[in-house]
Amino acid sequence: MKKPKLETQLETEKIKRRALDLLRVHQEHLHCRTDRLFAFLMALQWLASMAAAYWIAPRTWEGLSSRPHPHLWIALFLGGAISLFPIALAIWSPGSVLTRHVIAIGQMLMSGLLIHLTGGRLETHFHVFGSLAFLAFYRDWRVLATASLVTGADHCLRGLYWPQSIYGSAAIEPWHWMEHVGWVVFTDIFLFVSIAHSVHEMRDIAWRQAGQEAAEAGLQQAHDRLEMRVAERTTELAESNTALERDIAERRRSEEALRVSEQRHRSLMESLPDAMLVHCQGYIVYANPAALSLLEYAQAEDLLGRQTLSIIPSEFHSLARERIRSNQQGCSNSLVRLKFFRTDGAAIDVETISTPIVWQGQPGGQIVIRDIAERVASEQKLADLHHLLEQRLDRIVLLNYELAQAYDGTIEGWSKALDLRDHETEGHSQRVSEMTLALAEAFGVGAEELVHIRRGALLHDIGKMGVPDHILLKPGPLTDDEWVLMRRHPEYAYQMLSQVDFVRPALEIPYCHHEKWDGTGYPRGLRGEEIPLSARLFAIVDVWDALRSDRPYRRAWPLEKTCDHIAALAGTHFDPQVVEVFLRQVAPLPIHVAAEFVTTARVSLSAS
Amino acid sequence: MKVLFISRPFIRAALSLLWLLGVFYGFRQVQRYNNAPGQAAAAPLSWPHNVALNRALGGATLVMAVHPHCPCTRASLANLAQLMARSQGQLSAVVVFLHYPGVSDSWMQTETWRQAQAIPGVQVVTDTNGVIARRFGALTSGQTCLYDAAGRLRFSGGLTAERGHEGDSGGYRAALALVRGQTPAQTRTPVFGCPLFAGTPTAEKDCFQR
Repeated sequence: MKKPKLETQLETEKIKRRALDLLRVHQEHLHCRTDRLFAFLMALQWLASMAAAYWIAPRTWEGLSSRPHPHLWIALFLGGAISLFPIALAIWSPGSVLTRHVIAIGQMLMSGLLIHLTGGRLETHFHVFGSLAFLAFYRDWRVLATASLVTGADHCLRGLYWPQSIYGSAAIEPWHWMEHVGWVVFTDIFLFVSIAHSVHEMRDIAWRQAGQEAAEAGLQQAHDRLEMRVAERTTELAESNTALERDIAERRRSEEALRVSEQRHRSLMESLPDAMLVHCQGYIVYANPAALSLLEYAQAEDLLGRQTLSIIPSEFHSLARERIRSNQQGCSNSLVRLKFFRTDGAAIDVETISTPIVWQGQPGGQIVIRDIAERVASEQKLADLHHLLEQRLDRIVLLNYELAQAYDGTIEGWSKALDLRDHETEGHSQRVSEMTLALAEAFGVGAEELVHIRRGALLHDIGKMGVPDHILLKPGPLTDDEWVLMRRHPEYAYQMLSQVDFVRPALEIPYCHHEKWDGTGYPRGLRGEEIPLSARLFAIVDVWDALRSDRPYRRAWPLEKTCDHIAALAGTHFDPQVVEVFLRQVAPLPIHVAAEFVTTARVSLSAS
Repeated sequence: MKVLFISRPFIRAALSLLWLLGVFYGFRQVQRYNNAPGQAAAAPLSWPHNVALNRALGGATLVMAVHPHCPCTRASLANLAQLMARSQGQLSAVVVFLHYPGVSDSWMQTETWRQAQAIPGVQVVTDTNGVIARRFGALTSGQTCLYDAAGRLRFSGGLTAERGHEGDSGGYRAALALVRGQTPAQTRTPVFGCPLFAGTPTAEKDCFQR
């Protein structure tokens, strides 16, 4: 409640200030206008005073000679002195307080001069009242007061000391000036009242105008706001219109582009070598010439309008429905094989791919159909050939396996034959071959190499076939010459096996299994890693099996003693790394466990 | 364009005061002019014998010399009319209008002439070449000489108190007193009017009152 009241007070104060401004401006305008009026009036009455002086006493005489009467000069110069200064103020300083008071004084003095020039005629005294009436135009009682004081003083002083000048006669009472002043005061009373009313009206008008301006300002503000809103709305409408026109143009361009695209698409479809169908709402709505040709339709009308599923065999209906629904949802379908019915009812193999399409505003699908009958026939033929090839390959593998089995059987036969020649080492070749395989697996040797290692292990002493029986089977110690012959068995093995392609890769063990790590072995005195790995592996296994087997001249060594012996030979006889692996992984293994490894290796070898 | 003296309030106020003083000075000068009399006459103490005027028998005779075009003299004639009216036939008056050489009769027929003729009991005469006026020593229009029944000069001067202003004056009161057989307060008063003759020395030679 306080805020509106405060606003009202502020508004009233604002109107009040504006009203005072308007009143001040109006008064200034009035004062300026009245100043200009008096400038004109005083100039006029100055001329009138000269005219009156001339009319009353144009000349003065001296005998027959005459000259202008001095009153003419008085009217000219004194009247000019009285009039020109107020006129100058009215012209160059209109509206000022001093100007209008000087004008009031000058006007009253002019009245006095005119009264004097007319010899104090009573009629001329009305010039005073007329002047007061004109001065009332200022609507300023102070101006009237000044004028009244001046004329009162004039009447008083001249009435007392120069009555002829103002009353035209010296025969007047001393208080006669009071009568004149009384009339002036009487006139002033009415003029004051009139001025008060006039000022009051001016103030009322200023208040009304200020109020009206405030109302008009409010109205103008409301009008401006309305204009602004209208302008904003007009701008928005113009922008919307522009955007709409732009959209329409864009849509027209799009439609034209679409029409051109459709035309190009249709032309493309018409010229496509692949068959193409368009389905919409489950019906075929378009078929290009290639499709009509593929499905053997004489004219498009025979195909168009038919249900899509009607040209597809029933076993593909489920898949076809899924693909049609996918197209209608805007998704593409990948390449798939189907069968389509021709007009004669025969189903042909086709390969289709479909993409979504909008057909006359409705979602649909575009199916590209490729005849794959020839390809299917070729594929069938290829499959038949492949089957035949597989059968032959299986046969070859089988034969190869049988051949390998034959080789291995041969090798095993040789090995057993050697074992049978030396009764002391019976079963030795089989054991060492199995242990060597186990050790080689521990070293990560591949399956193919394992086969050669096994064969080399079985044939490690094949060279002994070249050693005469009296040396080989001699019960006592061998002589040095005999040892020379005995130590030549690796070379015999090399000479025998290197001529056979099948076992050449297995030659390392028979040829090098008596080489030693420190180079003191035979037949070539290889050392370190110059010795093939398979031979280094086998050398340990060979010694291990000899020590762990009974001999006619000794019992088999215990496990711990054998291990210690083997370990003692590491770095001299054997490869220390191989010794370590052997003792850690192979030596403690029971024989049957090692045999399992050998069996597994053999099975995998056979499978490959 | 604003004039410098107008644009500054203090200077305007000072100029206004100077202007007021100047105007007062002007009025003062006008007053001095209006109160400046013409040259007084050296009227003969007794009625001159060689003058073509008849003096009234058994009563006072007033002679007033008038310039036909003097505007101030009309106030003198107005006072004369008052005097004649109040003398109740005990005063004879002769208004002598100077007729200068070479002027026409119409030049003489002025408003002053008609005013004088309209006063009851006043004889208007034309004074060719101012012979009569010279006999009475008159030099200024409005010069009045009053002789008693014995032909002795009793008053000489003007009937107005000021240039061109009729009404009560010393001359008027003196003449009226003489007519009534009383002793006037003054026997000589200043004359306010135009010089009757060219070259007449006078402080001021102008008058008005149509």
